[in-house]
Amino acid sequence: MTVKKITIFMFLVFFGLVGLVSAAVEKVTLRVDGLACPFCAYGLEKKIKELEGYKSFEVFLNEGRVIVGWRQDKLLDLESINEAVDKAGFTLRGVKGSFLGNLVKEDEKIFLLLDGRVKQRFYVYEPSKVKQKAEHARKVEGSLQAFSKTTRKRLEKLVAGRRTVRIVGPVHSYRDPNRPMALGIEKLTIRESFVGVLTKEKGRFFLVVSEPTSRRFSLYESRKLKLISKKAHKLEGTDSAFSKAMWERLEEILTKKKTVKVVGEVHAHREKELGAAIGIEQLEVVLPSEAAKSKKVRNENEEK
Amino acid sequence: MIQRVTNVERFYRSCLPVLTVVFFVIGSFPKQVFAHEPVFSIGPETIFEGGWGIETEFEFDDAGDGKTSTLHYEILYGLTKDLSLTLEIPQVLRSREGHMTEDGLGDIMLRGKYQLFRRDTLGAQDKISAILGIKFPTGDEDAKPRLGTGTTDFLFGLSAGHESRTWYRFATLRYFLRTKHDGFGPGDKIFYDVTIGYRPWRREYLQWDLVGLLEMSGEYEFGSELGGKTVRNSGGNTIWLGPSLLFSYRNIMVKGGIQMPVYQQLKGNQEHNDFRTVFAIEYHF
Repeated sequence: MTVKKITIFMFLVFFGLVGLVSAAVEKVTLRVDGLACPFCAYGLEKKIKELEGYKSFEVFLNEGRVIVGWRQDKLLDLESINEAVDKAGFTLRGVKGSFLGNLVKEDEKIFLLLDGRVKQRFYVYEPSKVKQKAEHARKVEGSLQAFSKTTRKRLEKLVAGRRTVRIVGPVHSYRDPNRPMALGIEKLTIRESFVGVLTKEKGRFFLVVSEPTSRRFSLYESRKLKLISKKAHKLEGTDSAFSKAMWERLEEILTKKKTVKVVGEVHAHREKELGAAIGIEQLEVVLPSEAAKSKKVRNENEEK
Repeated sequence: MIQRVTNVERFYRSCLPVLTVVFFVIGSFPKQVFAHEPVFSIGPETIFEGGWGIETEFEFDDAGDGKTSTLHYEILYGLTKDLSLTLEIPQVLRSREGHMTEDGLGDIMLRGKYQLFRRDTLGAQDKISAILGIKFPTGDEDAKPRLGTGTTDFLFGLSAGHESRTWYRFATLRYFLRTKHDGFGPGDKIFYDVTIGYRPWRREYLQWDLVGLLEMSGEYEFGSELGGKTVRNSGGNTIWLGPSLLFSYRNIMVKGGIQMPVYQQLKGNQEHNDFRTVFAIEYHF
């Protein structure tokens, strides 16, 4: 193995590890009242930027919505967020978040565990089943009573399968700082990883996976293409579904016929002939040895 | 003291009908209102906790033979989200009265604003603040024309406002209590201001934002006293009206406006006001 190959291997291993620890608070959306003018919103920007976990700030005045990107190495602290909004002269009405982690079950309660660079856990509950303001909410959050029968079954499957999930929903804390926060499941998606080769047909990119069975996925960049759009499936794989940089990268990988690892959310289309699509969140070129390793891990998981 | 009560009564007798109509009109506006502080008055806004603001304001007043150009430097600090302090330093660039001209430092003022009430709703705020100020005799009272009154004066006020993404409205009432110095006591002043504003485009953050205002500023001055007697050619009531504009981007605001007197009832023989204009730049950090 040449020095260059060793360097590439080390690089991939490092980024592979980063991929493993990516479980985290991704962003929080604040519902803020009192945001009347852009000039006044500067105080909010300044106070939010003073937060330890601050990564990015975006505000939508007409909707009273503030999106705060959160650092992966910092715990989510709702108390400090509330204080920041208050000191800026506004009122925080609610917090929603997007979290990436694994579901775990302990003492008959289900948590979302962020076991990345910081360890933080959230009781999960189904908002339609548990009203936050109800007095008994505190007792049932995380317990089996907090979910409908269907959701409970789905969550238990995910706990057993150790799948990485993304949960988007309202989050709230308790006066007791030692008690984990609670996260309402509004949207739950599974984040998966596939190793395969890229193909291009009629100007569209696909990922062809041979293990465990041969499958073909259409590709898109999750940041670029919103699934809400009804026309989204028509754009999948085309240059409209990717940023310029990603498109060029895919072209390069295709030319060199490299094996790639794609991490992202998978969703199926209603029209069966379209198959499934992967929203690319991470894309890495893998060496054949890494691909074999990935295959081995997949087999082990399936055996389990 | 007896004289003061009489003055206050006299003021209310002349202004109460106007104030009642104005407050009724303002109170009947739809709930969607606001943007930021008026140019010729003071609004109920306080800056965020720990926030600083600096402002440079150019003011030009034209009253018959008297013309004054002043630069006001203001430093603003938010002690808490509800309490902010403002230091105002006026630098008279040129004050002319007939053939006499003068320039120099005016009377410095320290002002505090405390937010008594705030109600936040989606894209809107309702606020009421108390205003307290003290004006120091830093301007030269012997200059001709005078750059300062030579007295330490006090300001008390109350300001209410409703701000929203489209409209805004303000109503402010201030009492300027002036003390005596060397037998001379300039008359107290009552300021009664009402402002309405409209934002034609609901701009988002990090986009330029424009708000148009219509400001009505009332100024009632009691007669001055010299050696225990009321000076005949002093005091009166003036109501100003005019448009203003607020243009902002992120934490920078450029604002300006012009006002003309729509009503003037000055006692004795006094120069009548022609117009006044203000142009200012404000920066928050």
